[in-house]
Amino acid sequence: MRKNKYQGYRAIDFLKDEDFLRWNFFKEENDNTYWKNVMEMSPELTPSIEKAILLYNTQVRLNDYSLAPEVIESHYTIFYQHVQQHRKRRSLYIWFSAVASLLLLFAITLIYQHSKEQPSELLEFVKATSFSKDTISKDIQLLVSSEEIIRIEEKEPTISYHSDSIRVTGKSVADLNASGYSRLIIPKGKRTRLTLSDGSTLHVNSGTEVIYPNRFTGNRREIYVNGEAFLEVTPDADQPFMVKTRDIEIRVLGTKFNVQAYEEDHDIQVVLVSGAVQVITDKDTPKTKLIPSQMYHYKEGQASVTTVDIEKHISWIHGILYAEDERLDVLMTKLSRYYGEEIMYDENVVNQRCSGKIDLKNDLREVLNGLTFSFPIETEYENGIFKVRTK
Amino acid sequence: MNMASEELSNTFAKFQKGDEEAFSFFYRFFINDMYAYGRSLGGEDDCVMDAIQDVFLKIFFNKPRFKSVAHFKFFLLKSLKNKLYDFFKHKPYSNTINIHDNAYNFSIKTTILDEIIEDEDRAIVQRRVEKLLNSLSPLQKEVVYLRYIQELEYAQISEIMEKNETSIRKLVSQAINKIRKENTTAPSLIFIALIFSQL
Repeated sequence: MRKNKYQGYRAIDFLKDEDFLRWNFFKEENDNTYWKNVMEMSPELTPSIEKAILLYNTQVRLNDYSLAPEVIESHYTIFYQHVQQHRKRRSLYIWFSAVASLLLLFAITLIYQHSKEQPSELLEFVKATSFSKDTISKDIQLLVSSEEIIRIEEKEPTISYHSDSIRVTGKSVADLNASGYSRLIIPKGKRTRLTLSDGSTLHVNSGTEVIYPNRFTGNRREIYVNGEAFLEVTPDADQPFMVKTRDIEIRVLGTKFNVQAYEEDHDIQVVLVSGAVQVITDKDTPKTKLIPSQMYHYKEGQASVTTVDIEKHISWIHGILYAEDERLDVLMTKLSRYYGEEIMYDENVVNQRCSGKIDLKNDLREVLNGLTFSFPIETEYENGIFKVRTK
Repeated sequence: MNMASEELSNTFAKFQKGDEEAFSFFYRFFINDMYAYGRSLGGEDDCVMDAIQDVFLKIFFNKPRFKSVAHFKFFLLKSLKNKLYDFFKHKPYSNTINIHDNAYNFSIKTTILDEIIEDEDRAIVQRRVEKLLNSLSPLQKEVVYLRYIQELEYAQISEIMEKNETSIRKLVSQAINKIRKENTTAPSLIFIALIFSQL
């Protein structure tokens, strides 16, 4: 009688049978014998069992987290870009990565002093260009000359300087006038990757302005940064690279580093990942040399050097923001800049400090909402403005 | 062996010589297995994707030697797990998910594809499969998953799980016994079937 248990079973009935499922999952010797016997004794069931096995193999998936082909492709593309970056980095005999966050209060005078000592055409140009952040525009603006302004609507375009043209995300947008300077203005909420004429690249963060020659000539490569950028500099011992900001100057050989220079942050940071870097404030103070993992911090005329976790200072290029015992209002400023959204907060927020990691790929609403779990705050979105208040 | 596996071993040989095309083939070949394992461990989508990229970057530059395709796969899964645990460790807080809480909470999710089977039947089959596996502890689930879904060797599982091989084997057989005990009529049937077969 017992052997008739399966009488009249269709394939689907076997699929609902726990013994059958267990057999297919574990393929155990006991069960193999058992099912072989079932089939031998009731040959009429064999087709149903075979069909059920086929169904099991093709239709039952455990932890089926497969990725769409296009997701795999884009993942691989990003991977390959990283490979290229690593390769470039490996080919440098000296390289480093640094983050500089720079105060812009006294800088013009300081730079002016420097420029007296070593006249710099770039600084002449910077001085001549007004440095008001007249960036009400939501578009990225690239000023290749006083007459020619290129507007870019894309959120994260790539801009590259080739021998005869300037290309935006692969498309040629302007001929290159080798002798002039370019001024690139990235508004809040946008970012770009800029490749200069010598092959050096910059990841330029939101709310940043960069000024640089269309082509590097002479015995130095100089650029001016007001905001934040992560740079990868092509090595050239004959033509040292210099990043100038209002307050400090960073001298490098071939290298990779990050500069942050927001007027409103009142704070300068230079973080060295590898290699060596010199930070120069003014000619009366000795140059500060950093070793990897050190951060140079400059605030209200006071400089200090500490050891830090580098990753936290350069992760923004991968869309991650780290905070370490940071005042909540400072964090709000950063978020506002990154997303290009206005955030209003009440003054009690200043007393909150936070540490942690924020995924900037999420939208701002989610990010702020996430913070409400960690802090006694509540958020609200009203008339296009995010409001944060303490509870 | 069949054509596909011959091709696979040819590509693997090229990969061993540092061929980049072969590398990109294996990247696509293994990414789903890695992704599935990472998600099963409780990793969020983006976190797992980042970890996969890190694992491949390391392999690309360090060029470790693998004995076989299976060994390669084992290495990938092991590295992925380590990487994910590094991420968990260095995550003070995150607004995406707190992986800390379920770092050791391995889960197995059943999906029944709908090509052939009717809706109602599909639901029943799914419940049955889930019932089988849900009687297992997270640890047993992970072992069973690595053995029967990812098809790793016991020695490899023991390395990934950081337990000796004997206890891995024990875990698997305990898992099977548990499933057998809780769900089955089979032992008595085996007995009967054997008697019949001898008649």
